[in-house]
Amino acid sequence: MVRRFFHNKTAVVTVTFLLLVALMGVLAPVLAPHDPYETDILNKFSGFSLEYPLGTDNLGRCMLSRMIYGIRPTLGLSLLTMLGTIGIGTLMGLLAGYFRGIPEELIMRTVDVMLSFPSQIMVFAVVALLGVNVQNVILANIFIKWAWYARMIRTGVMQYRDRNFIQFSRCIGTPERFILFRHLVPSIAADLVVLASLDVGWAIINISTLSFLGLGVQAPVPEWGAMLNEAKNVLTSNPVQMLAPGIAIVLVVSAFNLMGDALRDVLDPKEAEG
Amino acid sequence: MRKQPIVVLAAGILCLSLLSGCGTSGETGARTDSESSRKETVAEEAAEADGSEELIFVNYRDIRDLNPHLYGGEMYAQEMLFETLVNITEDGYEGCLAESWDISEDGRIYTFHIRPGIIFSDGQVCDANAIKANFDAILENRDRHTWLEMMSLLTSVSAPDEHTFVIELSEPYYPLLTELGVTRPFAMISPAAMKEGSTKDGVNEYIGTGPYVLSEFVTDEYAVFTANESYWGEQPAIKKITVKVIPDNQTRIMALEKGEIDMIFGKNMIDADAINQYMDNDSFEVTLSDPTSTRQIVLNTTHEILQEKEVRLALQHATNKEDISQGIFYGLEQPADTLFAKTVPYCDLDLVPYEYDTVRAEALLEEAGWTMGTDGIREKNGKKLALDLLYNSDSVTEKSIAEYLQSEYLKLGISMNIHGEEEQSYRDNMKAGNFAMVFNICWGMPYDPQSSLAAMRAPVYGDFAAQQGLEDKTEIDQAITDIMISTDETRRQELYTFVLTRLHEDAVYIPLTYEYNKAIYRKNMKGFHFTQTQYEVPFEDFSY
Repeated sequence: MVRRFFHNKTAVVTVTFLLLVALMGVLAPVLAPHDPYETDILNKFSGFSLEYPLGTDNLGRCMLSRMIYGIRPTLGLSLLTMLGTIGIGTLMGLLAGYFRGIPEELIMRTVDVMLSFPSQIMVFAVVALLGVNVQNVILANIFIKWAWYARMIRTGVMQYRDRNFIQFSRCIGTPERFILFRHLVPSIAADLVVLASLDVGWAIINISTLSFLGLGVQAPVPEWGAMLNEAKNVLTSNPVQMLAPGIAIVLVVSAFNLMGDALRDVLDPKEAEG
Repeated sequence: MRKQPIVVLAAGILCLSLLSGCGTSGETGARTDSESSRKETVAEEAAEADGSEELIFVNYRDIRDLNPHLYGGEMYAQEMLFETLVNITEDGYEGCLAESWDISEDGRIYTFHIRPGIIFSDGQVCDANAIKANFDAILENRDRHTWLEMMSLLTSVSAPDEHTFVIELSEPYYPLLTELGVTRPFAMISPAAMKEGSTKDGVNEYIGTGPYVLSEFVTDEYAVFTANESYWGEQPAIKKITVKVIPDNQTRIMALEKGEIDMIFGKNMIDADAINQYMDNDSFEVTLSDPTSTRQIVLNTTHEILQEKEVRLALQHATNKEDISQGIFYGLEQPADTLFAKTVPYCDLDLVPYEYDTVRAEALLEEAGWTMGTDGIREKNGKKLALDLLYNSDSVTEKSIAEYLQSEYLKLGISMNIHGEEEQSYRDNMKAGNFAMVFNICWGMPYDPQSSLAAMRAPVYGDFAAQQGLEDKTEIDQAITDIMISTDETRRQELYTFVLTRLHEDAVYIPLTYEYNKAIYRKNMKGFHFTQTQYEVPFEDFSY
C-alpha cells in the first residue's frame, strides 16, 4: 500500500501540500514576519513589498502573517468539524447498518428528516438560534452534516454484515462491540478516509462562508473567509486584497478533494491486482 | 461522484479569481482600453441624459413607513412628500406653509399666516384647519415626542380662521421655530389620509404638499417619486426619481459605475476609499459638505467597569484620533476634540481636549488598580478589563474604526470585544442601554445643540442610559431644562457652558472625528448642494 501511495502522483502531491500547509499553521509564530494583530493604519492597503510580501489590509496589518495565522482556524476548525461529523456519522451508520430493525428505523428516519432540509439554511438557523460564535458554528455543522455520513456508512456496513467472517464471529459468540469495532470499522476504513477528506473540504468552505457572512470567526481573528469578506468591502478600490485568501481557499479545498479521490485509488484493494 | 461538482466549482472559482486578477493588477494597456470604452459609454449616456427628467437615487434600506408624524421612515423621503410650517435655511427661518408669522412680545404666542391656495396632492385644501387637524393628531401622541421641549410647554393650538394658526406656550421658548421646521413630526399630511383624524397607529396614504408624490414602491426593492403637479412652489426640473435599495457599499459603487444609478448621497453610504477613488474622475463629481456632526463613542457610565471615571479618562487618552482621521478617512474627516464642534451655536468653549497620551492612560489605569495580567489584559480583583463595543453594521466605516481601536486598546491591556448589528437593532440596543460602548453621532444642524441635549433627559438614544451612572446627572438635566426656557442670552450661554463642561469632564463621550456629508454623482448634473440638515436631499433643485 505504501508503494501504491508513492506511485500515485496526485496522492503524493496533495498530501505533501496539505502537510506543508498544516505545518505552516503550527509554526505560524516562527514563520509569520509580523504580529497578525498589529495595526499600522497609516500604512493601509500597501502593495507587495519586501517588508509586507502580500501587502497590508484595511488596517495596515500584514497580509502574509494573517494568511499564515489564518491556517489555524481555517484548517483546525474544519478538522474538528470533520472529526465530529465522521464520529457521529460512523457510530450511527454502524448501529443502523449492523443491528437493523428498530434501531435502524429510528436512526434512518431521523436521517431522512435531517436530509430533507437544505443544509446551509439549517446551519444559518442553528447559528441564529444559538448565537454568533465559533463553537456554535462547529456544533451547527456537525449537527447538520452527520446524517449524510450516517447514510453513506450504513450502506458500507450493509455490504459486510452478512459476509462469512462476520457470520463466523457471531456464531462463536464474539461480543457485538468487538464485531463492530474490530471487524466492521476496519472494513469500511477506506471509505471513511475518502469521506473524511471530502468532508474537510466541505467544512473549510462552510466555515469560510459563515465567516464571510459575519456569522463565523469574529474579528480580529484572522480567518480566510473573514479576510475575504474584508477584501470585498474594497472590491472596487483595492481588488488585489481578495487574491490571497481567495486563492488559498481554492487551493486547499481542491487539494482535499483531489486527495480524497487519490486515497480511494490507493486504498482500494482491487487496484492492487491490476 | 460527489467530488466532481466540487472540483469543477473550485476550478471555476480559480479561473474567475485569476481573471479578475488580470483585469486589475495594473496592466496599463488593458486598463486604459477598458477605461476609455467606459468613458465613451458614459458620454453616450450623458448625451441621452441631457434634458432628461429622471434621476435614479440609491439608499441602503427601504423607505419604510413614511408617516410624517412618526419616526419610522427615511427622512429624505419624508422631506420630498411633506412640508412644515417653516423651513430652516442657512440665513435663518423661511416661510413654507406659513407665509409669515408674528411672535407676541412675551414670546409665548406665535401667530402663523398660512399661505393661501395650497392643496394636498389628493386635492384637499391645506388651510389652517388642516394644519390644526395635523397638530391634534401629533399631540394625541405627545409621549412619543418628548425630545421636543415644546411638547411640555404647549398650552393650546387654534385656527381662528382658515388663514391663521396660533400656537400658545406656557413659557417663552426660543427654539420653537426650529422644532417646527425639522422633518418630523410637524409635517403636514392630508387629513383625508389620517385614520379617523389620528396618525399614531399609521396612515392610509402618504399624501402631502411637497414637490413630489410617491407613485409606486416595492418593499426592499425600489420606490418611485414623481413631481407633484399641484405643488404650490416652482416645479422641480427632475420629474421622476427612482430610489433603489442597495445595502452593500461596493454594489452601490459598481451600480454607479455601470450607470444603474446616478447618485450616491449620504454619510454612511460611501467610504473614504471610494471618495478618494473618485476625487479626480472625469465622469463623476464628488462633493463634501461642511462638517455636519461629531462621530463619537458613548461610554455607559452604569457599566460595572466604565462607572470608574479613571477608566473612562484612560480610554479618552488612549484614543488616537489623529490616526483615525488620517488612516481611515485620509484626512477628509478632521479629528474632533469635543462633543460638539466649536462652530455649533453656544459651543465655542475653552474645553481642554484629551490629548492622545498612552503613558498617561496607562498611569491612570495603574492608579485605579488595574494591573497588567499575565495574558496581557489588565485585571482588578480578579476581574478582567474587558469591554464591549457595539457598532452599526450598515455604516461603512464604523467596523474599521472599531477594529483599529480594538488593537490600539489591547496594547494598553484593555480587551475590547466588537460586534456589529444592523441599524434598527443597533438603535434599539442603544435606546435600551444594552451596551458598554457604542458608536453614536450628534444629530447635526439644526438639532444641535438644543434638541440633542434635550433628548439626553429621556430614553431617545443612548445618551440617557449612558449618563445614568453620573452623580451629577440630575443637575445636568435641570440645567438643560433651564436652557430651553431661558430668555436671557448670557444666562443661556452660561447654562450651555455648564452642561457641556460637565459632560466633557465626566468623559462620557469619546469624540472621534467631525463627520461630513458626501455625495458622488454624474458630472452633467447641475444644481447640486447640501442643505442645512444632513438628512434631506434637495432633489427639487437638481437638474441636468
